Amino acid sequence: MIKNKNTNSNINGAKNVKNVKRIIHNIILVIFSILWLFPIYVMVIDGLKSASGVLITPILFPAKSSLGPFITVTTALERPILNSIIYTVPTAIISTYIGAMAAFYFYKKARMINTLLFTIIAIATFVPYEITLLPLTKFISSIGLLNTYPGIIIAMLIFYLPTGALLMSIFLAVLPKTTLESARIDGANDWTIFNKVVLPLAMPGFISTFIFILIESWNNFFVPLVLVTTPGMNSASLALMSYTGGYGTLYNESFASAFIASLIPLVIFVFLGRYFIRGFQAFGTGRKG
Amino acid sequence: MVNIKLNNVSKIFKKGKTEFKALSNINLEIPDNSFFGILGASGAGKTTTMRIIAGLEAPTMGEVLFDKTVVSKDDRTIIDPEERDIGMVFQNWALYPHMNNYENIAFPLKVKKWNQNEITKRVYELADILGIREVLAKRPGEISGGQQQRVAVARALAKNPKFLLLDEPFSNLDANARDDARALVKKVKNELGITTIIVSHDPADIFALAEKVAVISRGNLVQLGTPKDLYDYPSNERVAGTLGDINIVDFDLKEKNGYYDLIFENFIITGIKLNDYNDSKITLGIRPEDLIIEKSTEIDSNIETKYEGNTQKIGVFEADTVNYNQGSFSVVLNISGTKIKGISREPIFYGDKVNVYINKSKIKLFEYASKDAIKLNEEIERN
Repeated sequence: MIKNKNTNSNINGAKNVKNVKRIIHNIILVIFSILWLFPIYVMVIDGLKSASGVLITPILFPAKSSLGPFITVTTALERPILNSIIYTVPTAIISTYIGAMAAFYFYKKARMINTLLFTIIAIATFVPYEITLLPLTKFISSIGLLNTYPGIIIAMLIFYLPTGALLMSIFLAVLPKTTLESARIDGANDWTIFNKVVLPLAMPGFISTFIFILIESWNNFFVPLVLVTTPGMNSASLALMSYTGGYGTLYNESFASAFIASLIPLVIFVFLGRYFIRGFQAFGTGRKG
Repeated sequence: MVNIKLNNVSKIFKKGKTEFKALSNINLEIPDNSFFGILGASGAGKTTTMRIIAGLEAPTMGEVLFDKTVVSKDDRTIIDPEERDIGMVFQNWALYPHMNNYENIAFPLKVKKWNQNEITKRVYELADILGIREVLAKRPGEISGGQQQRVAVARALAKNPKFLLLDEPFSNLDANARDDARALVKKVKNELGITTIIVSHDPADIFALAEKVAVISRGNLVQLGTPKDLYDYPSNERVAGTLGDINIVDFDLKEKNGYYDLIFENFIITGIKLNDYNDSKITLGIRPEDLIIEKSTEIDSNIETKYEGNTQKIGVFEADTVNYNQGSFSVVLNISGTKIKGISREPIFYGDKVNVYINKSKIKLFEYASKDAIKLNEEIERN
């Protein structure tokens, strides 16, 4: 009997330890979630305040609210958001797709020269935008695409293609080599192998790269800043800055517009986020999706 | 249908500054419509040989011919694998995990731009031969290993390839599924009459399937022949071991009226004729099934030959470990630390006294220094 009691209390003890662990785990998760939700919370409640209200009430607490600022900025941001979609979606798709092709080439052929090329691509990913100011502007205007959609997309591609190639090579590295060889034996050429075997197998990685580039280019301020010359071509990131003028800042509208402008990447992340996470899990554990 | 020929094929892998010679000067001809085996231990170079035939690697030196066409030569692939028109089953089957089994089998046909009706007809035809019709709608991840292997065979055969390559196709299956799979491969080969090459480290695959076999060891082609020839007349000690279980023991030689006695402790084989052998030691190979072990009844210990033919009684020993294996007992004798394995029909237990008989016509003799075979089996028979 005594022995029984002992084992019971042992089991209970183990259970308790497990429970405590789980509680600590959850508390930490909740704290982090709050930290990360904080900016959205601030954007929303301060965007709802009036122009004077936002200045006299503490930033963390709600005050008398109206949808006024949101309605104002939504109308103003319609065009820039549409522009941003036009700039970033093709940029993200093309960079990811062509980046994946480049990655496939590096995957297939491991040669000295490729290691060098790969290193150059990796370095290109980290080139600061600012030092390209003059050559970039000169190049885009010399091909007559200054202040045009294609011009800005091309400029974005210059920065994000290397990112696409770099990220995709990380994802392709975990593909099973024999599956691709088997496709060759089955008579498929590189094009078919890439589209029918490599892309479907690397889809989680493809989506992760796509989301990453989309968000990066959405937030890109520099390229539209130097290549857009008329307000009608403004991107969302540029339009946001117009609320922080030299003569004063409309804080409530700044908050509201920041929220509206981040909605698109947010929605995409919410819908495709699981692929994003799966993709990164895959290259952490060597599993595919 | 095609006749495959390897002329002086060598393969050197380079990694940084270190070189590794995977194959050296392989000459091989695989005749049309044969079932050819390539046997070797892991790392011996057999998979490299197959990959060179498939075109996935180019030979560093030498050439590969399909009939009279040179398909690769001296570090150059002249005809790419996708144009070689071959079927291959990989060790891990390498099915496309994102397609269902139907699509897997149809893939090579889609690539060849067959029309939809023809593809469906062909896929069902193969699925019926291989008994996988009911799993066509599932994905490879959802079916058993044996079924995956069948799908891989069906995919390899779909486009009516010139020949079929099997790279260790059974090693990922459990024992029962393996027997079925071997029978199936044999049936498919017979029905379709396609040249088939199987690469394996398992002699059981070779004996079950291959008509002719090449043994590759450390990058060299060491022997070529029918599985039976190689089993009974291995050209050296290593081939003997690659083809199956064998006891390898060094014996002392003692001459007696032109014949030799082979002596290892109290294990003595008498009356062996040797021509021009000058060493005082000799290496003997004897397969367990040629070493018959019986419970000792002491009474017949005077009878020299109990079994027909060339079976000679060696003496009385003590059984060490005993394993039961498919209808027979493998008995290990421990002769001053050297383990010698024989076969018994009846249960024998640790410490039992046993009579040991040796089938003299099946012993294999190797030179002590080089471990190359000494050809004298005829002499033993005549003796």
